Amino acid sequence: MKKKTKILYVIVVGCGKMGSIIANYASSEGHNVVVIDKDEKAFDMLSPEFSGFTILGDATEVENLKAAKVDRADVLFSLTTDDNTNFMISMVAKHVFGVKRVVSRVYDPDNLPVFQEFGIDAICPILLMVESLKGLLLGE
Amino acid sequence: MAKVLCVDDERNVRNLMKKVLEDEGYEVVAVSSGEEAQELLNKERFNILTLDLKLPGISGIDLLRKLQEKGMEVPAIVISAIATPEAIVEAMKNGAVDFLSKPFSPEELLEKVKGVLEMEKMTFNKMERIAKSLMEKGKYDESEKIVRKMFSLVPSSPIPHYLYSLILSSRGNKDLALKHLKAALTLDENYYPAREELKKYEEKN
Repeated sequence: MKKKTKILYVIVVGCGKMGSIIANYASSEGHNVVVIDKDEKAFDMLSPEFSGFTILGDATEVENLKAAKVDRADVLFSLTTDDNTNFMISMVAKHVFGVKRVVSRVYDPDNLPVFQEFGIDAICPILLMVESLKGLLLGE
Repeated sequence: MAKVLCVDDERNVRNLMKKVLEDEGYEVVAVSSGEEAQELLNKERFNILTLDLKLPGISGIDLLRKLQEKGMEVPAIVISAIATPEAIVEAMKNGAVDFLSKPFSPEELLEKVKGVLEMEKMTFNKMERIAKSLMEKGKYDESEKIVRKMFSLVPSSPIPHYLYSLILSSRGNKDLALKHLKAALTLDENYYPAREELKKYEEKN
């Protein structure tokens, strides 16, 4: 039998490769998923089995976050391709709407401390890659 | 189990409705346009309809209007991202019985569907009482109208057959009355009022 995990209300901002993959996964695991993107074509990346909601619009506009019922979200992933956008959305989600867990993608490693300072979980793909390569050099 | 017709142009929402409702044992048919829904409703009976307002082709509101004009009495829950008071009032005016705003959780959807089916059951029970009291007052024609509605609401129930048999027998149409009594007992052989009534028939003959 499949392991029963708590069903989460998940909002994914940015339906690019990363956003769509995580949204598809969350949906297939039975979570309630809402994806926001300002480009309608982006939603084509969602799998045919995707069973969540899509909202077409700019998530830096509060109205679009409200339409996603962000105040109810357990988790928000801000995965757009722009650090400033991700920062702004994460800040609003965390400090205006009180979303418990906000995780943001950060491109520029130099921006990482800013996110951390404001209590936003940030993941920097470049640093993750660097860590992997370092491990390789160390023979791990 | 209840049969649900879902109308939504977004595949992901149709997926969700099917998944959530089928997991609870409902029979679900999901279509993407009002036209398809209309065609299906002409052919099949559904216990409940969930309807998106924004659809390609005829809109949700237009579909509600058409159903009302035809006198089809499938209760509809309107599901829309546009949850302004105006939109809700407009939907209710056109015969929707409930409203659910997108995005919704599976629990919210199930609660609405269960609520509406429960309400339908209550309406049915209320109709039975009214039909009986009209008969007691000798108003058989008015009672018949209600019983006809009960037939369309729950065709598998023995109650409307039983009530209809009482109406027919009051008009002296014993043969047809007997047929309906037997139909009631075919649907539910333990339905007590019909059994009692049938006994009376058998005693007379």
